[in-house]
Amino acid sequence: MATGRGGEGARGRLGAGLNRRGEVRQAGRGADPVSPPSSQSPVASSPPRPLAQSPHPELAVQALPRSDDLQPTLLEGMVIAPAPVAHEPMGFFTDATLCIGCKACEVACKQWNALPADGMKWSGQSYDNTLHLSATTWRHVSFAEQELPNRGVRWLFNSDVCKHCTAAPCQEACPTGAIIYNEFGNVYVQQDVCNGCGYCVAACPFGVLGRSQADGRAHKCTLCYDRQKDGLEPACAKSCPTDSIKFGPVSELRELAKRRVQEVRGRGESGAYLYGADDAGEYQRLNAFFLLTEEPAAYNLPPAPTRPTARMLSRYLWSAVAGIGLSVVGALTLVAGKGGR
Amino acid sequence: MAWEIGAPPDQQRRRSDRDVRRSAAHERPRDAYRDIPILQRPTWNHEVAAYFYFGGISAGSAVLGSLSELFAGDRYHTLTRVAQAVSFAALLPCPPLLIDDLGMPSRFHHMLRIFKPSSPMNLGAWTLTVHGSMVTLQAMRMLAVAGKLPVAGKLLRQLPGGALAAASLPAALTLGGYTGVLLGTTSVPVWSTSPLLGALFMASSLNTGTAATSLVTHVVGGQEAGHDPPTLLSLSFGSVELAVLGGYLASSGRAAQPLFRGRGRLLLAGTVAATVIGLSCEVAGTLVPKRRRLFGAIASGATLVAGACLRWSIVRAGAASAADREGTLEAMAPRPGAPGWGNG
Repeated sequence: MATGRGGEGARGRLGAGLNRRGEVRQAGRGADPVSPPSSQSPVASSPPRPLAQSPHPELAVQALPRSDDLQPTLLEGMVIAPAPVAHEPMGFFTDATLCIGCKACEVACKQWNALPADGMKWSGQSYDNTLHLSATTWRHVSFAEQELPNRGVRWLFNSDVCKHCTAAPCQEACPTGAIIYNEFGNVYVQQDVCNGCGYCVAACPFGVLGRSQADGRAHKCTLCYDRQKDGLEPACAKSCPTDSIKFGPVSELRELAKRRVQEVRGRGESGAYLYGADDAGEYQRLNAFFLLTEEPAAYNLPPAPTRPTARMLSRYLWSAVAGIGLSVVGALTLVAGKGGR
Repeated sequence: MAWEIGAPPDQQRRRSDRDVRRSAAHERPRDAYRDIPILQRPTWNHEVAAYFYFGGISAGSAVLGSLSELFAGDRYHTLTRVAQAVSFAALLPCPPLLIDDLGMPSRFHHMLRIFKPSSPMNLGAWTLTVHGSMVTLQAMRMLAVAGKLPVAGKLLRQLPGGALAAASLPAALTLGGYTGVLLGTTSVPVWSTSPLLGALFMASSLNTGTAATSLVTHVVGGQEAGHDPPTLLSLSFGSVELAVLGGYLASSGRAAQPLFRGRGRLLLAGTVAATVIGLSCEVAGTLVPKRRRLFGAIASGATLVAGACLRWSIVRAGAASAADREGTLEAMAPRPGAPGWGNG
């Protein structure tokens, strides 16, 4: 299952900045002629937990260059680095039935990514003072307090995160190409390209992206790209004490989730379902999906998110009809005009 | 409670069963997050509204100037020249406004590092570049023809005006409407529910472009009596704009509510009122030829005010719409072609 995760992408670097979705996806496994043959046996490198072992042992050597390596290192900056080799898409499966609302994921995310605090504010919303995802909050534990008239109060917990959509509105909207799919199939904002136009903020139907007031750029969950490159799982998944947040290859997570939803239903939670594991018409599946027990709105998630680009052509069409129609009116009026000055 | 006493026991049970069912439905908990928005507040504000406004005027007057050059020959010489000059003047504030709106203004050129038609903003950046070049070229040629350009005058005079006008039309028309398409291609309900926002901005662009040209023409020296093209054009553009505005509001349904709330509704009311005043004054100008210049100037001014009200009204409503959780849930409710995910 974890075959070929070792070594292949070692030379790949994001610095190329050209690894837009098509290139990444089309680059077949092992098709990159620059890639060295895998130094590890694929079977031997298969970890019990996804990516528990570093797939890039070469990186450790690079950190301590020998003197005869210096010359090629200087030259390396002048050649265009090859695009990273496509990796199996990686993602999150967040199981709300296992979440205990401890917020370890929120804290771990803030800590690993060095995200600033959001200020001391009392929201009055149960034990949730974060309220939603933002430029500085990439994991948010929703802490829904439901009053049931005859049964008192109950809590619904779920750790919300960027959905890493397989057809992401933010990626489609981004005018600079700053938002890309990286080699792990994750939606990633290249901070050295983003110019802070704010289009992704308005495009995301989940309200994930925010523009930072500190640096003027758009930020969101990177799915711990830096940790993944070093073969580590994202900070939130690592810190989750109940394994409510699972990280791994999306295909495996999807199977796991489907078994889990059956199990939960079998135990009497008949309303359990998967949010985002499969395509839903206009909106394609998410690489970070959820197992929920209440309707999406209870967790402040949209039931059927819109995909803005799916509607773009009709808007252009109406605009063109108006523009061309009125131009024809204008031309006819001018042709018929008697003449002025 | 009469049934408890008088009704037979089986009926009593049936009613009480129904009652239990009703109370179970009642037990459905209210959304705990009922006051918390799902969407992020859009970052766009006055700069973007102003850019949409001036860009619209520049596009509209460029279209008018090009059509006049192509179809009226020398009959509307002043109109053509004034329209081209207005288009150039209205273009000038656009790049600074657009750049100032960015979170990282020093990186505005990153929009031109790729060509990406899936992003209306990227297409718009390219459109503004092409339109800006064409309008500048036309303005310089105009100066060269008048002999007021110290350098490169000979070269510019040789450029064929008709071909330039024809070549400038596509970019000008795209600039007039793409701003509405840009807002329409988001997840914010008030912008994205109706397919007509691009058409609305297009109509407003042509209307304000014509009004600005007309205003300057009145100031420069007026028009001869009779049904001159700007009057007829203003009448047709203005009425089409009102009709498209009605269509946009109607097809937005509940998503248009933020436009009618708070101070925003004054802007919407201002849009409608100023457009109607503009249309009435155009009519009054043709009916009272003596006061033609006065009525024409008022009409143009009112139309320009209407265009500004429209842009600010729509841009402002985005923040209110994104904050409206119920509106978002309704816009993102399961619908044909988008069943979504849930247990319902």
